[in-house]
Amino acid sequence: MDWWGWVILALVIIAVLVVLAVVVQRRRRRGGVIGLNEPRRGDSR
Amino acid sequence: MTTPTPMLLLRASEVTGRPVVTLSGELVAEIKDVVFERSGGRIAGFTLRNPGLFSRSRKDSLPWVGVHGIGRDAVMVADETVLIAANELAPRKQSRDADVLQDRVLTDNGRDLGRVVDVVLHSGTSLDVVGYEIEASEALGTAGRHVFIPLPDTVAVSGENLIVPAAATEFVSEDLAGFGAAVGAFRARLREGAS
Amino acid sequence: MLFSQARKRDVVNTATATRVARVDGFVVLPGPARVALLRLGKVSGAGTLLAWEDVRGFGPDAVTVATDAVIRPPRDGLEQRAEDNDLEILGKRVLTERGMELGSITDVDFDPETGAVTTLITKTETLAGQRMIGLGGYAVVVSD
Repeated sequence: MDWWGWVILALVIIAVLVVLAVVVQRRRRRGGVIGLNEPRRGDSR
Repeated sequence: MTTPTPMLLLRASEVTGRPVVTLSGELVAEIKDVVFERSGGRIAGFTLRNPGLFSRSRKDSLPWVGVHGIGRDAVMVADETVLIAANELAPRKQSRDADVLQDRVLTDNGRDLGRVVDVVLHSGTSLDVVGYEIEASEALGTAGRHVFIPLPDTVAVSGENLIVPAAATEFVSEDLAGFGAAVGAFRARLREGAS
Repeated sequence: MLFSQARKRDVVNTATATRVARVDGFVVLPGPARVALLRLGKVSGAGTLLAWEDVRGFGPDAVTVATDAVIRPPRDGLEQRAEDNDLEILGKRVLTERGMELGSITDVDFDPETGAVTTLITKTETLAGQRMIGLGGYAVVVSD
């Protein structure tokens, strides 16, 4: 493979990693709404 | 029976990501998840993460009693001493897979109303879950659209699925503005039915 | 007097009648809201802070001090943050204790006799100085 072949390969790998990082970060940042089945200990109602 | 009072409603997605700020003006954290009790729908508190783009979640959390004020732009606390251990607010065993977003909503007579896309909260002296915003299924005539369905003030404890009374389908709103009245009317109906 | 008018004013030593510094900024503290320190530029020594108590007069043309010795470096963590500009009130967002944002501070009105902050000004609001509860790195917090 010529030198530019390696350059393109490296660029593709970097692009994939960036997309992956963004996707993971977005999923992790989205907040959830957690429903607890039991009332908390020592919680007067 | 009193007439339904106007309700201050907000979506859970409007609360997550909000900054937690002390009364002395310091940024403490950001809200990660809203934690509520399935029986009664009362908000127990919030899990936290550090502010910033590549933020980490934190080992402490904000219980509802520690909240001084919750508004459009920030959640205010007196100071950092109101925070408690995250495990104390929502034990890991209980909070795992307990996110209701994307859960299916079933009526008690077995109709699938759709998937939860957001949760509607009512802000007063306490903060309570009063309804779900769902992506409606064919059962609702407004299939594919986002609609709001009210919850009774005493929600039965449920497991995998979210069960609502069949009568809730009569009080579906298409916008949040009209939803407060719908919640009130729905709850009034349930109380009449019970007495 | 507004901060915007009072900035860049010369600090003059009345004993030697020489200009010793220039006012660069104001350090406001809550409870009650007041100008606690002046941040100075064009100083000859190491310090850049001047406590309000050490100001002899805040006049229309100059700020006067009795001696250069009152211009000093920060004494504690709070003063260090003030010197680092972390507590600069101008441009800081205003939050109510109920979590509503009221814009950013564009100017502040204060009493040059006492240093008391009388009014906080944002693009859309003018807020009484007494409403200020806290001032931190993130926001100015005001009561409802």
